[in-house]
Amino acid sequence: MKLYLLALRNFLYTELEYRSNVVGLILMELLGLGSVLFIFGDAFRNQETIAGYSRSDLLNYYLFMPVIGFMTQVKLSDALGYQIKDGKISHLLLKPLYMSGWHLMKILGSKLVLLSICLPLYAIILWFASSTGIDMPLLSLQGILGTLLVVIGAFALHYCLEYMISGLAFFMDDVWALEHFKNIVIGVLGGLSFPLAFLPGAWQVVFEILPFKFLYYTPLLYVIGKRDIQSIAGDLLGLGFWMIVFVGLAKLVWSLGLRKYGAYGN
Amino acid sequence: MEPMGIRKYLAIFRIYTKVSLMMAMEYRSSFFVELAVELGYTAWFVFFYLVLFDNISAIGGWTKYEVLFLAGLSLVIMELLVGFVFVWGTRILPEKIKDGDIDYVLLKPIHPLFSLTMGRPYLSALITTIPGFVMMYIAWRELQLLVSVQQIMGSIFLSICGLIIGYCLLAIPALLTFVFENAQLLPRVGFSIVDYATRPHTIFAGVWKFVVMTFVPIAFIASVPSEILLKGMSIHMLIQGSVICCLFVYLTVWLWNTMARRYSSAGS
Repeated sequence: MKLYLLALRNFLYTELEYRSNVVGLILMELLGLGSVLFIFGDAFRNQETIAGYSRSDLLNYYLFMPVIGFMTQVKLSDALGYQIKDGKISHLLLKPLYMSGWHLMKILGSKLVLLSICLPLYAIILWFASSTGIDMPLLSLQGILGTLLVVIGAFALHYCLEYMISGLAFFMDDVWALEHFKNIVIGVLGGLSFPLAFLPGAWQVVFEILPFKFLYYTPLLYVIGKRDIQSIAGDLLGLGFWMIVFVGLAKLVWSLGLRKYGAYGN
Repeated sequence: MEPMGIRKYLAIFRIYTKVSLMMAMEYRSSFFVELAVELGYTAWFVFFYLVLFDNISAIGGWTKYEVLFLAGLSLVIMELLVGFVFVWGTRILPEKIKDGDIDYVLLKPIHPLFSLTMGRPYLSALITTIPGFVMMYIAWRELQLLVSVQQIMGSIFLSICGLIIGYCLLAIPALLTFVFENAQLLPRVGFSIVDYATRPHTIFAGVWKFVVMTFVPIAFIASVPSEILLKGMSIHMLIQGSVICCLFVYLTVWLWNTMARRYSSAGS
């Protein structure tokens, strides 16, 4: 455990060196947010609700999306994929620790830096939004704890998914594409573009079964009060199930991949 | 040395494109993966609008097929910008500046900004302009549009201005990395700004409307050219668009000249 904590400390220092990128990230999130807010701001001039969402529901859905994203987002497959492809993970394989644990510490390090800078800045933005007349959601203590549990579960699920995807780099050359395909899938199936309630009924059933809704859609429903706190047990169970699936798949991909790994790159 | 004319630049650009095409054909599997990624993003873009119009009837006074036309035109322009300017140009500029890798470009007898931003076209993005043309065709057919030659010429002229404005909006944030070294997300900020071009400019009101028509003229990238074709000719918009286009080209070149002086060649 001490080894992992040391790794976490080192990664924290490394991440702190590149703070300017965090500011860039916030700018990008705000620009993306503005883009959809202008569209829906206009749409609500002509109608009261859209797919059961009132103006403030939808504004809050998009306003809190970056907050959920800061917590659940994991970017690993791009960098690790290239390391695998270039045969640069050999030194990590020799270390007395698990590769998955090492990378988890790396992700946690960047996450802590990101959250410590982004959340206070974003809190100011939320305060500004509430001062312009947007009704902010009110959460009970149970609601906050429940949402946090789902968010932590979503982060863990996303990490397992990314670790599994990274392992695919053992078998292919164009590893850069993996992250893009994941982004597209999450963009459509995870509620990143719009709430899944906007979809026709039959599509909703399919999208609800898949695990990607946990990454944005489900936590956001808890935040804006569109999902009852009683549903938390079912959601955590679902998260647990999909984590087992992805952990299993990641183990399979990595054990097959490591047999193929030649340390000379491909 | 004699300054080079536009014809010479076009000839150089043709060579750049030819080399990129040869590279794409050499690594064919990579080319098809790139194509699949671009088509995936296009499908996401189209899906967003389809779902949106299942739930609302208009955006900023634009109906479903009017927005489809705008989405098609913006897709064409965005993919041209992604292909010619962003992927192997502005996106990787911070890294080149950080590593001190642009010395050689500065020595060439062409404008370094041209070489750095358009020196390696990403051809997969250009192929994904095709869905954009298909979307425009479907929208035109469904709207049963009857347009004048002036409207067509005006729209094409403003689309070219829009393409140049889009180039400037991508280049300006990327050039700031001469000051904020290794700020690798700055070019992506530029891309996020240009991405607003996919929305009808009529959704912006008050001060925002003024901003998108002047200081950050994303309205002229695709929305105003579409409006000219869909809703009628506007001489005022043609003049405003061309003046803004010239001003932004001047601003971008001035910014390059100012920022390039900060380049130390040593890397950091």
